[in-house]
Amino acid sequence: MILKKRGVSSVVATMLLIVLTIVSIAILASFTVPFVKKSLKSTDCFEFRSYFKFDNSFGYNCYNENNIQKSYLITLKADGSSTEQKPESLSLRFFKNTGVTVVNIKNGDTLPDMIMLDPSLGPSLIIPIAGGTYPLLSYNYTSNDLYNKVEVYPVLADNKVCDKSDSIKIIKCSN
Amino acid sequence: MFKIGVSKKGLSPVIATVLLISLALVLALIIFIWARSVIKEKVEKFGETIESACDDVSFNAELESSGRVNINNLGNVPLYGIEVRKRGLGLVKNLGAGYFDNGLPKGAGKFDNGLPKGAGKSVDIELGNPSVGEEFIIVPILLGETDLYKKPYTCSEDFGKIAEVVA
Repeated sequence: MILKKRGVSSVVATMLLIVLTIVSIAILASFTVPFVKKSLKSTDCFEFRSYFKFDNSFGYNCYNENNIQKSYLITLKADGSSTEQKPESLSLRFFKNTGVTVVNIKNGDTLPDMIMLDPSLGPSLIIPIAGGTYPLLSYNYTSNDLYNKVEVYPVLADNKVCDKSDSIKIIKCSN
Repeated sequence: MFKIGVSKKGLSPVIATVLLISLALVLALIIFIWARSVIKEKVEKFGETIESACDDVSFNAELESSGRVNINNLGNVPLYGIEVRKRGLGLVKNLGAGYFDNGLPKGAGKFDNGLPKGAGKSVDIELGNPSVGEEFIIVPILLGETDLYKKPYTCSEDFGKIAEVVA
């Protein structure tokens, strides 16, 4: 018995294999690319893990008391090595015994309880930027609550709040 | 007796090897391009990280009320330039931004071939009518090297020097 040897030619077979491979890659890529992108997104904050630091060179990071009202003087330094990437804003968390108050600071914002310590900078808030015009800035936050600790968090353009950059205990100003 | 015809057609070992090598090369290229974009460029000075070189910088700085800054390099690390910062009410303002404008750091003083050990040089920087006794921070700028090109690097303010304005 002689078997029929007819079938797909080797050229067509090769083409079919190539097409099959490309289609398979495309299908796999449609799953893996978004997955990898999502995974890499979680590393966005890596650059800013210690970007903001509380600075004590001016002797602030303390509060003054005027009757019930307290003025918290906070000095922040942008200490990042990268000047190419910068956070969009920052988030300050003021801790008291019974809870937390979150204050988000963005360039150009005006907040009723938060002003720049140096009035010559105007009413709009500015965040410190490493390598920028103001790498170190101080804020004056007014509140009736007694806070004992402040934490700072960098916030990215997509409003993603990164891990804590730094924290400091707040004491009463000595002067 | 049955005679079964077995086709021996297929890719030759040479073509198969070439295909495998091509595949490996393409994969390696893709990984290399991806890795280059992910891994940060390393700036070095004298074969070590430039941050370490900043630690070895030593210089004297003097500011004149005219806005002239006199620098005398005392260390072994050549200075590429300086950045002047001013301390205000709870703030530090960068007077020399350190950004590049036509290849030169905008607002920052730049020494053409670096300032070697023992050499002194003056640069004019806009200090905005400083008064005698006013304090400024002089931060050194070094010229680092990457694998492909040279790149200025502004040291941390911790390596800066506080200089007073003299008459």
